[in-house]
Amino acid sequence: MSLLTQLNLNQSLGEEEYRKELKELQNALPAAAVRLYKQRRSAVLVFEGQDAAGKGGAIRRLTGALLPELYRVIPIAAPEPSEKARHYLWRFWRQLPDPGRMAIFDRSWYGRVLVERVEGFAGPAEWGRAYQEINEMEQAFLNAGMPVAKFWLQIDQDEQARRFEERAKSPLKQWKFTDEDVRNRAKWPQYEAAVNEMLAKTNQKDAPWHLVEANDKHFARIKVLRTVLELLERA
Amino acid sequence: MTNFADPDVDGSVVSDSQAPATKSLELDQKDRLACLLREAVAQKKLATIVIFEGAGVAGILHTIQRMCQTLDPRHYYVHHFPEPVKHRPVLFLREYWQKLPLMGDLAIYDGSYYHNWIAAELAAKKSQKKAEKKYRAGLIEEIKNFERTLADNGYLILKVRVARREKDLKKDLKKDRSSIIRKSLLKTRVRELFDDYDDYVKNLTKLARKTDAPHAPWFVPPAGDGAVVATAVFDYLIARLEEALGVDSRSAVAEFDAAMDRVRRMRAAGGAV
Repeated sequence: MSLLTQLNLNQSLGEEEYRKELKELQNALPAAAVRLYKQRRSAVLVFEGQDAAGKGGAIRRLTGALLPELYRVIPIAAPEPSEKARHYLWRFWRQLPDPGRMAIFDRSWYGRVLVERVEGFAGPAEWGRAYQEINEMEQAFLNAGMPVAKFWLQIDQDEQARRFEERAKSPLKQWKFTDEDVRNRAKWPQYEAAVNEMLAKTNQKDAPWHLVEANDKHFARIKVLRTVLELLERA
Repeated sequence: MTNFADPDVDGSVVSDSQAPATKSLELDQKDRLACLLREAVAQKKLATIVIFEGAGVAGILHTIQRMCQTLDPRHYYVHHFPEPVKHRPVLFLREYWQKLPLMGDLAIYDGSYYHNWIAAELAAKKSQKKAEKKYRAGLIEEIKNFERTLADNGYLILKVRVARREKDLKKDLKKDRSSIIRKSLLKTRVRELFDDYDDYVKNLTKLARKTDAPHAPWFVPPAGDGAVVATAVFDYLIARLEEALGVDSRSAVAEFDAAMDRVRRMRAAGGAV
């Protein structure tokens, strides 16, 4: 049984409870981030998940609580020509935060073993050795005293279809809905296999994956914020 | 792999009877290097990183300067890495990652993470805290992982360790200090090394042995004056690039010269080029 199928995606949080918890967490986060800043230590947060899983919404709830100078959100898309002409991890090393700051990656180096694998942009030898390369990179972060948190936001196919429909109808969200989303959806089983292998091979003791049941956005956001707060307080 | 069998590896045994490099030999080597870089740029499958390590005033800058004289300036970069930090670095290899060359291009590192590691080792010699020792041991693994992943992803890594006798280095250092131009170029790292020269050599040798691998070998040119070092380094770089690119540089130079001749003849005849 794969890790993803073990998740209970029906977990949810009522509006009132969500508001209350969100407020508490958002009040506690700035102090934890400032403490890390005073120690001149950085942190790396990675958000991965299916299209429309709610990565952006969770990141927005997080950044809404933080001082703007303490974090940077790095959206990751297809590599530019100058990025393709270098080691695939180069573009991520360039974006690592200065001491005391936090980098929030909206998609990340895990694209090598997900989209690049499934779409055939990387050959089996390339994505096959990427697990080790990624683990070594994250270990280097940890050696330098940088906590690493990795989130996988999981939704099911029905929920994704519902959200795509919502996006297509909403004038504010239409821009987010592309042909690529439809193409990716058609390859759901291949992506699921790639995700399961990624979770199994890159779940490190000090840089574990946090699986987030994201069918309910409220539940997912609170789980993400609570995990980040715990990470910063423990660091 | 390395030529560590060479006794010059620790700079202790040096032959004084090096044949002087001739101008024509140097010109030939430079042409071949330029041709190989052109080929690498055309192929776009290989990026080259040449790391120079060794005490300052050992002939490194002299070699780099000669190397760059005929290379296409759009396709090589020389990085003089900053003075080593003595406190625990935030991310040890970050700046080296950031300066990776594009496929086809050449990056020359004047000093590198090896120097940083040794400087930290020398600085911490007196305290020897357990945690610090463990941390630095972990950095050696990071270096090995870094070089392996680069090699796996299309980078040719060539590491050159320039060794010289301490008394020759001191003589040159004295000369540099009295030169108005060169005085300003002397770096802290050069001065530091002479405070602890034996330990520096010992540590670099130890580190080089630990990080020597088929995909990132060390090369130690025979110690001598700048021309001798440059000639040996050029020979080594040419051989490794020819192997990696599958190109015979002598034929490539001959073809290039013939093409240039044709262009010159056409120009002389007033034809279109």
